[in-house]
Amino acid sequence: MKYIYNLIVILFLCIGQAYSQNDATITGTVVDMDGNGISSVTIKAIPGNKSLGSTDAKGNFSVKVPAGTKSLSFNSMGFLSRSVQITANTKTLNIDLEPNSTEIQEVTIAYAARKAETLTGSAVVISGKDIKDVPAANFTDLLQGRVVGLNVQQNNGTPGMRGSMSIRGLNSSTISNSGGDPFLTATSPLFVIDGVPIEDNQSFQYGFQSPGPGISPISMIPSEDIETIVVLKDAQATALYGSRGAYGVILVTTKRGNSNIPQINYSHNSFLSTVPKLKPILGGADENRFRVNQILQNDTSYFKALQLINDNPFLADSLSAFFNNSTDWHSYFYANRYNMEHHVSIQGGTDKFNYKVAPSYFKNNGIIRNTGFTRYNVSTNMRYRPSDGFEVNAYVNTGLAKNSTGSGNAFQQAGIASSVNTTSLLPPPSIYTGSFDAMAASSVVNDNKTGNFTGNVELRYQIFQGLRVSSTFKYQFDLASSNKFIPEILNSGQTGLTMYDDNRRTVYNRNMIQYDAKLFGSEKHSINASVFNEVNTSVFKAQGMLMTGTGSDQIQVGLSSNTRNSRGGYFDNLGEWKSLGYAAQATYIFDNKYIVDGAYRLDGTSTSGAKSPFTHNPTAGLRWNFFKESWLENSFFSDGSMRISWGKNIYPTGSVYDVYGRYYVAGKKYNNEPVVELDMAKIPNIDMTPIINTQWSGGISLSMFQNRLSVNYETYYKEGKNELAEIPLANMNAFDKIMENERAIVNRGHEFSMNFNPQMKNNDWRLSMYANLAINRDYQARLANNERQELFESEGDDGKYMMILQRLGRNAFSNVLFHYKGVYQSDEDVPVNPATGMKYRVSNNVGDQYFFRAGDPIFTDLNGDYILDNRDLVIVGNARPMMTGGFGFNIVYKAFQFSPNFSYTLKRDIINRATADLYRNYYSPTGWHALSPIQGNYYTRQNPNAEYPNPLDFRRANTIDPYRYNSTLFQEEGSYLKFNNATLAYSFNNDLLKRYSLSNMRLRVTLSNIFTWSTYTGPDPELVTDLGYDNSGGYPRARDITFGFEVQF
Amino acid sequence: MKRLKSIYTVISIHLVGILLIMSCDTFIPDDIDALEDGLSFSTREFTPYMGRTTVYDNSLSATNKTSLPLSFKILDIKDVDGESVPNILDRKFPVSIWIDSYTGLEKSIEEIAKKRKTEYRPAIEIQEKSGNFIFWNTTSFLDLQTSPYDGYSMDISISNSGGSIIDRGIKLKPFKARPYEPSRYDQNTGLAAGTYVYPKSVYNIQGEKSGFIETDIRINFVKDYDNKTPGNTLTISAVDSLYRPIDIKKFNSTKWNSLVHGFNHRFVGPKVVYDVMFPMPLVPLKTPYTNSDGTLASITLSYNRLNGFGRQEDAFLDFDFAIYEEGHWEIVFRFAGESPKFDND
Repeated sequence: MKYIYNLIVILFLCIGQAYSQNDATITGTVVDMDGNGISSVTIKAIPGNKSLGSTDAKGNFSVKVPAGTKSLSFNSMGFLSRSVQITANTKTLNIDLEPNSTEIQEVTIAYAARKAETLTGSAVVISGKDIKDVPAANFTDLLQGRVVGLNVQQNNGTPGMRGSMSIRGLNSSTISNSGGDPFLTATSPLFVIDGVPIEDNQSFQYGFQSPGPGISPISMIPSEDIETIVVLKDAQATALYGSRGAYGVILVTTKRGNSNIPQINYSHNSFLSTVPKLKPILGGADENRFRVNQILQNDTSYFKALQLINDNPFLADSLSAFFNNSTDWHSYFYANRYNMEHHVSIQGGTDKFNYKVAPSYFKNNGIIRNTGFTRYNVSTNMRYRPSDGFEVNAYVNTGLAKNSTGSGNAFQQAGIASSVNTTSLLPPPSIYTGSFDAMAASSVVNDNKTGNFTGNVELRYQIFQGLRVSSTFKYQFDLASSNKFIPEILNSGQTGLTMYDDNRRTVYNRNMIQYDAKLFGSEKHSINASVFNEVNTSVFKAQGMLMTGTGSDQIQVGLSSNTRNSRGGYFDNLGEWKSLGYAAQATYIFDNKYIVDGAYRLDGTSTSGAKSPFTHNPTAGLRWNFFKESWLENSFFSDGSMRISWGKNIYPTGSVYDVYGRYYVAGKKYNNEPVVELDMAKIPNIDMTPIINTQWSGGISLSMFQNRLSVNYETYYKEGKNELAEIPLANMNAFDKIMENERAIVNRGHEFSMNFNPQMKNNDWRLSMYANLAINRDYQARLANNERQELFESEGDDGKYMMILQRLGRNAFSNVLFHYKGVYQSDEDVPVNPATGMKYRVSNNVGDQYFFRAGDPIFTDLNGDYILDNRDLVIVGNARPMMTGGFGFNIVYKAFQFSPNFSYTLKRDIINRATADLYRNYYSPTGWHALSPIQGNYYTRQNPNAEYPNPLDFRRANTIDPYRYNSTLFQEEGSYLKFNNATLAYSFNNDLLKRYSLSNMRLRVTLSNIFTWSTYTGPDPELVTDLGYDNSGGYPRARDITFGFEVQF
Repeated sequence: MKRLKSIYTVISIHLVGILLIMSCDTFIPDDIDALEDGLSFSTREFTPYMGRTTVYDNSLSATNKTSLPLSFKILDIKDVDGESVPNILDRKFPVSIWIDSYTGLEKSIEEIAKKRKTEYRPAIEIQEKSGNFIFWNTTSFLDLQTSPYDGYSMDISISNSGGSIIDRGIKLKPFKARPYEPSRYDQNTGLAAGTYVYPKSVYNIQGEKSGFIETDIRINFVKDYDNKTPGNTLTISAVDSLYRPIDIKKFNSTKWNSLVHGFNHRFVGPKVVYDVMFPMPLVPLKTPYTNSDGTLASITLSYNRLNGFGRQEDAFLDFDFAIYEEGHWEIVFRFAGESPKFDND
């Protein structure tokens, strides 16, 4: 105890030495950073903490300072407190206070503004100022490392696509298996923009395997336009966002006008996206020689080797111009790009009437050829408040985005990946050389557009003091179209045209009655209650057309000559979705010390079965601001509270067809009329319910040294149950399968966050920093059919390499791999089956090529039968990160500002397919793959004690498969620390600007995606799927250098 | 100080409270292995031959719903009356086990012997993690009743950390020992349907007198029980229809060095004798001395001669066999019709 106390005393020493003095009067002014006076700043004498007075409306003060006072402390809501050392001669003091950006005093949660200190749920507030300096298509990517418990992984470098995000661990353990690219069911939080929920439908989230352009409506919001972002994490905070709030809620408030004089802000960013370091490649003669040597040195006999070489003109024909090139394939696809962003905002008005119009333009050409993202956006809002009792808010946002994903989709660039992985000996891409993948990447016309219109109107009316009614109406229209044209030379002599368009219309309405009052005629008791209902309807329809053979490359519409192979029609995901919710909420606050919160919500959705159409979702929360207790006043702790909450939230799952079955027009005919049939694939399940998340959450917040250091700890236990599982039915049934709510997962975690604003001795310097850490563990709690374990096997070509185990009580995604223990240094090291006398072998087959020998990998024979097969797979690793977080600084020296930000992810396992592929390319010396020089320490006869097995033994490579993907050799630690970005900014002096009739100007240089520290040997530990697979077909993330400026007129 | 203390008390009370809430594990199942219902051996009846080492693998019906590896144990072997057979699992017998791999390239008996060693093991074993059954060649010492006896039933425990299952009633129905293959002894009755077997194929062996193609070649396995000389030998000989010896060297193009994986071959009278190791083949692995899948040893006796036109004619006979018992064995080829014509025309 004494030790801690001493430490604190030492910390305070920086405040200064003291000597005695008599009562003196000190006058002065307290202003904010813009020079405006701050009213009601409390001034206290130190030591003694005696209150001396406060500032007037203009920020002026005049206080009598008692003898012995060493310094004065200035405190005000919303500002960081400050202590100023005084001497006997001090007569006047003019000081400025920094705004306290870390603690925003009022938060709009559950559609009603509340004081932050009365919240019982878990909410994190980020100011738009913190993120506006970095150009990004999606503001969510900028939240990486800033919000404790929000795990953002920028695992996709495609322009316009956002990375994956999840709040408080894993929300779903369902793996979707689509054409060999398994992915985790996306569970991004619900976005509420200016008070209305926005559809961020799952098909947008990846644009993955879905035919649309894959742009999320969230990427339609420019980050400059954001005032605040509130991330709600626990059940109590998200209680009233019920029908889709189970995965957390992110509230975004856009800027609105608040200046009497109309203001025009213009901000501009020019940024250079640079290609990250790509893997080195062997080229030309080096490559040819390497291949020939590999064959000569590793074939079973010299004769066989010569035969193989001579059978392959690719290696043997030294005169052919086709096979003797040194093509740098990277240079055909990757290049640095210049991009830009403009954002104008015109705003003005008073409290009675204000408006804002903010057009913006953002263009980001991808570092891969033929890819890019362009966004045009106009966001407007208006508020009219003729009297205190009546208010109209209106928002209209329109956006148009264009993107091109080239020959790939939004998530993967498989075509490019295979082209880049082509041997340098082949000639560069042209229509005469047959490198069609490569040609496709540059000549396929891929034109995607996403349009978006959102309008919402909010009316508020105060019937009498304390009782308010409000009504919100939103209409949203999303339109997406995608056109892809493949020239005939790339499509077997016939052009290929794919057209897709979809539209979604959403209508949302909320009507609310709110009441707050002081009870019992006392200021101490206050109550706040509201009731509302909510209706959400959305209609979705998508149609597509596929046409082959339009006649020529110039004819890109019309009829095709090949009608037999042309198709078109509606997609089977069309549907209408409705939800209806009723909610009531009440809060009781005693003296701002004890807060009790309760909410109850009834939710019905289209996808709930007829047996239980409504789910009942109660939540409750308690908060104790214990530092408001009298016995804790005047300590060096300046604030402290404790919270605990419990609640249930839902998330709709499945489709109406799973609940009610489906009739469809069968291809058959009866009396020459088409027949409508019941779809026998799935039996209707009228018991179906949404996913129900139950969450316990508790937290402690402490602030010290006059709010300069605040520490926050939270912990939670979250159970998500009723996730859908597809259960096959016994084949004596008419139906094949049923969808049932049978799966459950549990997440437990701890979250720590810290903000620190030390008081600097020199007022030219200011420093603030944040740091946070979230630890999460997920557990599988239930599986379909009450099984204990499920093994997921990919359906793709390389399906045998990808298995994911889910077992009760274990982390949701465990890798299933062969345990790699090193390399057999000699043939004698291979174990022998004592009963049969045969060596440890790679399959049931018997033969020399199947027995392991020197240079082969040592895989553990788990069941001891001397045969390596699927029964020897071990369960290892965790594909999900255990710890995530970030930290950052903001350093201000006079007009300069420097703010670096870091984020990190710790304890996660990645299957490094990229490195495996590098070695696997040596499996076939006659295959047309690119060869990267091997950096690893691999086995040769001269170097038997190696880390990697022999990659050059190509004759046996396909049977032994030494570089199999599912080996612990390629399961690597995926921890990383990333230097996200750093901004250096300079703000011009106001006096200088006034001469040019500018009120504000700021210049800045930003670097993003600067450096990643990691032990991972693949390209980028972040650029992996949510399931922890590093597929070499991903889109690399660019490094950006931005030059930007902002001016305000 | 006092105030500070109270602050810390408050904080610690809260922390303890929160930790208590968070430490409730009860809703999270234990991470233990999965063991599916109805897990059992898919092979329900094991029928090893007495006196041969037989390995049965892949006899379990485990699916994805079971965590591997499992642990297996033979709990009991009962006779047809349900009585446990005493000492069947405790008695250990010397068996030759491999410590290095057999390749077929060994150059001497010693080299092969060096790769084997003798260990004492129970005659019936189940491999602990794979569930593979091994019936060693020492099963003949167990005095088990053989087919047509109804068979013994085994209780096998299958377990992992998720629990255990006892799979009862797995039949063990050994066949009578047949020391060599091919054999005409019935595996159930032990009675022979005949005394000889035929070669796998015969090519162009012409009768000495008629010149017709000779096919009636009868082969007998003879074990010399009286020969107590240490070591194992295999003798190959040929006789004519009257059991008069034919000089084996007359098969003049036979590759004597690689006829069987034996060493030190010598011609003793009309016969050829090899020092060998039994069983033959030693390992079910394809070598130059075996058939294509390595299950049987393969010998080819061949000769050539000039026909009436002065052209060389080749003739051979192929025989695939296996011998499981140690000792001094002789394979006798009897040309039951005519003797082959070895001389030039």
